[in-house]
Amino acid sequence: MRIQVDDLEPFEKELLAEARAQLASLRETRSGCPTVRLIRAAQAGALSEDLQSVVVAHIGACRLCQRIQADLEILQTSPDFELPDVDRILARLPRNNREKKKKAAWLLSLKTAFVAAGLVLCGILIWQFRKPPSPGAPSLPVASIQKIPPASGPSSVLELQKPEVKFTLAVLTWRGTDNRRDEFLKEIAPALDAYRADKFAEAAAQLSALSSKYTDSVEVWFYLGVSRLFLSDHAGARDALEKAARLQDKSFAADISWYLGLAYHYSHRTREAHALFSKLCGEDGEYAARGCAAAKELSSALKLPR
Amino acid sequence: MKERFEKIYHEHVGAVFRFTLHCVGRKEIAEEITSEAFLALLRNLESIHEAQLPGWLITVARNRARDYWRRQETERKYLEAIKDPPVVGSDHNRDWLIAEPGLKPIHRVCLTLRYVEGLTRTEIAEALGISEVQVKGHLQYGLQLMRKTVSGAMQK
Repeated sequence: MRIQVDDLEPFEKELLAEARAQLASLRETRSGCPTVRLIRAAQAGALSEDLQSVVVAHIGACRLCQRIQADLEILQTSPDFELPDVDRILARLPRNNREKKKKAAWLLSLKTAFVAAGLVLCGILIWQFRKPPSPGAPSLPVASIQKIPPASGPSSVLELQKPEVKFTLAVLTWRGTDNRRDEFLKEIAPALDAYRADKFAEAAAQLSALSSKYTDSVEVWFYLGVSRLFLSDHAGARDALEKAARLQDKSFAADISWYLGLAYHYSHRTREAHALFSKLCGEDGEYAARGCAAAKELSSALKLPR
Repeated sequence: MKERFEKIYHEHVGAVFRFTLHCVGRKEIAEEITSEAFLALLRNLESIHEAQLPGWLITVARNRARDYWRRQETERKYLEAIKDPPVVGSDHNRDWLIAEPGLKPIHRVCLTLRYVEGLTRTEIAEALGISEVQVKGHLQYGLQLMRKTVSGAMQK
């Protein structure tokens, strides 16, 4: 399959300019290989017998497919994995007894579709609960809908979202006579531009270079940590965000706690993540609600009372 | 019974969904199959012992996934079109993808899904259970590494 040039984003066009030949060669190499989806399905034993045996035989003889299969085994337990909104799955239960739903043309996103379906089904489930059961027929136990998901927003509170760029009060209210602030802002600007454009690899490289000069800059360490989170460099993210936390800047304190909590969570350090989220939950501010939801979500993993 | 089902549901839905997504690679399909598995559990709740879980649910999900794949004509055609594995020999780019130490599993899979199989970022995010922005980060990293190492080696 060839991807359309129009689908490429600016960063891809730029980077592909030099790697185009290599990627074309890779596509040619894999032209006889099963897709990643098929490899995964074969790994789970979810294919029909004939397809399963053919795919498994191919994987056994193909080094690249073996490598991808090994990668998929690791990714299956990745801490980055976003669990679905479990109430949304629960809301679908009675629908499987009815005919297939038709997709309405006005539904623009899958999330909006499930929210609308969830609201309808919630009403139907409540009606089912109130209806007296017919004799001899097993009654459908009512599983309560505990929460209707919002029409927009992340499917999990622990989803990684990019924070906007801001500066500390110290930088904003600098009254010094020298030009240190201007110099700092000038030097950090390209890194933050890259960050704003989602060029995290570039931002991380530039911020890392700046960190040796501006060792006490919360902005440098914080956005370096966040950039590394987006690159799945969780150890590097923890290191940078812990350094940011040690600087004890009040204007960034909650932001650092939140993203350091995420870094711990992605690193399977659930207890430390839970502690940070619980602390945010007890404070005022924009992260309080998220902190409470995140702490609640992790409580089940730690088998704590919710 | 209602409380028992709710307890089982919340305890196992994550694992069942994760397994199902692995089976079918599409989030919407995985959600549908997961709900089918729990619906089957509802119907048979009185005869199932909790020691059988989540294995029982996984088995149901796997069977539903097999039904799904049987209906997929495009994948069925693969059976007819599959070639023999590539001849063992030196292919610098394939070897790079296999052996490059700087590539983590997530990078390699994202690169393959995007630039070999042509999936969009949204499709990759849904297939792997991560955010689109994370997919973008992984692609950036992988492409930069490819440009640096493969292109650099080719110039030598």
